[in-house]
Amino acid sequence: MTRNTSPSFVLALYPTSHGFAFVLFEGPDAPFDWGVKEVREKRKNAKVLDDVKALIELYHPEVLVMEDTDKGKIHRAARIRRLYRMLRHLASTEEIDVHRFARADIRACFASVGAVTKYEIAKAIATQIPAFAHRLPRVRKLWMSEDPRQGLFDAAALGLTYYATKNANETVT
Amino acid sequence: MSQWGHGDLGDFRQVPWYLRMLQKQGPSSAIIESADTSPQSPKSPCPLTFQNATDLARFPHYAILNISGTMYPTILPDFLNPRNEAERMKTKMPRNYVRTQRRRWAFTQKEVADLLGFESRTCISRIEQGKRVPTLESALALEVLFGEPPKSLFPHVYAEAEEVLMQRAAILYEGLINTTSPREKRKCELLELALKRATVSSAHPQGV
Repeated sequence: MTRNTSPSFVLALYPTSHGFAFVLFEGPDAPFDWGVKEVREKRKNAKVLDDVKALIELYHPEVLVMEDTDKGKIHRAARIRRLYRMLRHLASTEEIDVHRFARADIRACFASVGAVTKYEIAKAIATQIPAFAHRLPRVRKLWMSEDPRQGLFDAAALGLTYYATKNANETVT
Repeated sequence: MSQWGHGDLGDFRQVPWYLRMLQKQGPSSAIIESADTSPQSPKSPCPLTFQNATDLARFPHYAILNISGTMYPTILPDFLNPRNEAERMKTKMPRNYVRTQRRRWAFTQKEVADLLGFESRTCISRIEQGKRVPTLESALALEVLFGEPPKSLFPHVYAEAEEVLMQRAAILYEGLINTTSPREKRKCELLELALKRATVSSAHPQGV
């Protein structure tokens, strides 16, 4: 019997201005599904929420990992902050644990591998998870807007931070 | 059903019945220990005893509740019913790892469909969504392509086949266990090995 027990999924979400990116983890090195969904409708949050709900119904994740916009000075749009609140509410109705990490937590997690900038973190993720290597965006110049694929690495960074924190807590206890 | 609340069972529901049977008392009888099996006081620990393996295999939804020495015949609720285990897996478990492998290697559905000799990508889509079980040829072709055995790519199909086979094996084993014929003993050896293999692979799950 290969998998008689349901693997516990961890869903990491990172909303962007054009939709959201998600990575569904089975383990720190084992992403099961991932993607970047574009939403170009007027009611973006409602559509994103529907898509996330569909993901939750399909995979039944046990943990939802999101960015913590309340900690420190995080510049995220009011719509995105509202979306995070809606996602938290959705998670509580679906009885999913929510873990939130600020950018500082992510940076602290990846500092051990010498990754500081978003690109360096994305590169470190691509090294750890070869499945993402071919999706690594180019280095962003000052005059360029962010590549939509960067969202995928931001979501993955959240997921990996969750696993790192979990492992650290387990080691302490 | 409501008296059988789901909350306190933990991973109990995720262990196949024959493994619990094997681990607890050997293949002739089975005791399930759960903190939430008593209809009268759902929170008090109480063992749930199946009559014997044959009855269990023949009537998988039927059990005798042993509450403080008094026997209560009962129908197992859905989440304890081994017949529903496969159904639960269909809804709860990831269906297969073809999509994961395909995307890992940056292949499109069309490309995999072409490699496997399908006319359109619809077949791959259906296989990925679990709507279609691949043929033996397709499963082996996917193993050749991704280097993962069908057992890893389609764990739910394997689990279902194993579940059904083990239920039948339990019935056969019950019939053979008391015989002295060397041929029957040899068969028993194989069935025991199969049960052992199932236990070991369950304890050390492998995946993609």
